[in-house]
Amino acid sequence: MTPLLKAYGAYVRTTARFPVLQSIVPFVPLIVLWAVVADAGLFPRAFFPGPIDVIRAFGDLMYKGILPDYLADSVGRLVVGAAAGMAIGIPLGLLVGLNARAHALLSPILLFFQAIGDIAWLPILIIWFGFGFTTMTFVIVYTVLFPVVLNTVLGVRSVKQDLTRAAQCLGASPPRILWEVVLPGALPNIVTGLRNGLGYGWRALIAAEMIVGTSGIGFLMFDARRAGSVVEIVLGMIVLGILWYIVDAWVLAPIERATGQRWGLVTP
Amino acid sequence: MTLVRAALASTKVRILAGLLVLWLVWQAWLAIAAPAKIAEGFPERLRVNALITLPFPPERFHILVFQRHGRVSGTEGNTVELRGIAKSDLTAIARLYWVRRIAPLREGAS
Repeated sequence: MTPLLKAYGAYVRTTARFPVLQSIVPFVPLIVLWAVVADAGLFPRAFFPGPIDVIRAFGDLMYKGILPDYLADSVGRLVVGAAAGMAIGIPLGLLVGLNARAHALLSPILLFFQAIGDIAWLPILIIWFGFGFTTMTFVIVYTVLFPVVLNTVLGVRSVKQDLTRAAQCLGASPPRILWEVVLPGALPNIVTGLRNGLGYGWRALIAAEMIVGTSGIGFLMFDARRAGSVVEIVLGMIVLGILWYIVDAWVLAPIERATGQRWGLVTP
Repeated sequence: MTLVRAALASTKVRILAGLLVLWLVWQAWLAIAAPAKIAEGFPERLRVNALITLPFPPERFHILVFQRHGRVSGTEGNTVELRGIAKSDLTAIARLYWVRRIAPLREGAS
């Protein structure tokens, strides 16, 4: 047990000094296992490439400028779609959350459209807009919209009435109450909705790129099947995973935590 | 400022900021190096024909990128013939890091 304890102690000390390692270390056994299975030759190399093959493919696609271009296309679409989804979703969520009539009118419609999956829209979108940017943006906006709207409604409704009444007693106007009480109170939920929405949107984008795209990581993976290039498909999957891990764990989660700490309500 | 300071205290954010700075430096370098890739001798016209050399044989991706700027009329080895490019687009093409050289296409060349 002593060597194991010593190794664990070294791991704890090192990760305490370099917290980034905590994100990398869990993948080490997975990659080792992958390399061992690939090297054992249980499957043909063309069907089951090893980590070195994937690294080589990564280098090749970077050298030829294909991967950076497709990555930029995918990220750009996600940013545009998410921005549009937020621009529509947050005001709509505020309206539904604050106004009882709007809630009664729009809730069934929201639930109805929420049940229609983003991919289910693709056939009609292809007829309307063809294969291109508009179709993909629509899919992302649609996917991001519902988590943002529903979480905003939840956030607005979780703001304590006492706070609103206190602001009213102090003479605050409705816009000021909205800006200084409701919106900050709902912000932790809005950020949670945004985080979920971006996750769903990212997956929807890759699916849309596979079906209607002419560029992007989804297109790269789907196009690789034409050449039977499993290594490029695996590379695409790894790029998707790494990129989403960085966006979610390194950017969105800290923003969500910071928002909760700054504006979240502490209840005993 | 407190939020920015708190964000910069995180190693992850510092790594991302470092990557962003590297990317900006790389883009600046591409912009600086681009004019040197364009050979002399392009005619004084709004649209020109060019022979673009890459360090590898062009693939479908590269042809599609060039088609945003003009008509691809052929490829040979590592070179692509691109016709009808707006002269102002030459620098944009030269900024692509996988483009090695852009030379005028000789009149009468296939």
